[in-house]
Amino acid sequence: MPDSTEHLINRYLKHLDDALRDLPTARRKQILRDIAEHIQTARHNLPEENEAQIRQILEEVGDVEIIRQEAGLPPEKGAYWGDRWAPWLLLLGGFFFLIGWIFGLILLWQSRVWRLGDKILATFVWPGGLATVVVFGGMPVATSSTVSSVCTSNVNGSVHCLSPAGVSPHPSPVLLVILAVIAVSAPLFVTWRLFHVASRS
Amino acid sequence: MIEEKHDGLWLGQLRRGVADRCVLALLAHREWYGYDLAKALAQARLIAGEGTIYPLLARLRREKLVTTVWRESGEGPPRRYYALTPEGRAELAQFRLQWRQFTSSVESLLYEEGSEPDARFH
Repeated sequence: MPDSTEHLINRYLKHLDDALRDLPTARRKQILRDIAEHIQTARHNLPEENEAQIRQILEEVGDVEIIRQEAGLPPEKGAYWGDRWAPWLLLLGGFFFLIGWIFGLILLWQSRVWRLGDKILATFVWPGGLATVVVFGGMPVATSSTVSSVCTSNVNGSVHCLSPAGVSPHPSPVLLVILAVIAVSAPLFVTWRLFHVASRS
Repeated sequence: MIEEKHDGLWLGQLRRGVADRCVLALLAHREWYGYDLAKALAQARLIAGEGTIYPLLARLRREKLVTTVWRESGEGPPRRYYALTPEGRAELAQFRLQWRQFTSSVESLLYEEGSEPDARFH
């Protein structure tokens, strides 16, 4: 039996399992068992199995969303509006006095669309979202201006400035650009990933 | 698969409303295997997908209108067949009466004197 047909069936049953997650376990498992048996019976009736016929069987079994609704659950699409807003709030909500980001964080952790790994990633990259990048992005300039002002005047009138610990207050511009690109692109990547995972579920 | 876009939302809702009663009607004559029930209802365009029959049957079982029995199968492991309970039979009898009254009321409104005379023949 080709792996691709087995994969199609397993993927369908996984989607169905996800769609029925709000049902009591016994009812969910019974429906899954019944539909898995239905698919097996349909396969058994095929004269010769190929991928197109498996796709046809799954199409006739029906959209998992319709099965979900027949099981008495509310329509999934539109029910979790938070799943659409959480990625945006995590990215840009920090600009609204941080409250927007915190709200996005609550929506993220309440959602069942994302797995634990994605939630942890989205929480720590970065706390506050792009607002944090903007705030911290201004710090090296401010720090360097403060450090350079620590100078001593000698008796002969000359001014001697020292940088603390002998480290240059001006990091390499190339390094700064690299850090800035990483700092900005990391939360953008996480936002893309959250939308990507949500669209597959 | 039912094409609700072409048939109209009302027809889809009507089908969903009567599909479980049609299951009772099929079971009135004999026991059915779930797969065959799904095929029969899908062919009659009463369900939107064959898989929807299983939550529907589960609900009828919870309402004690149908029951299941295991039967040996010549094509593999034993299969679960669905059968009507006495409560299901009583429910079906009541539905038959209600359906006759319902269709009679709708028809009298649709085809009463003064309405579109040719509508009945389209």
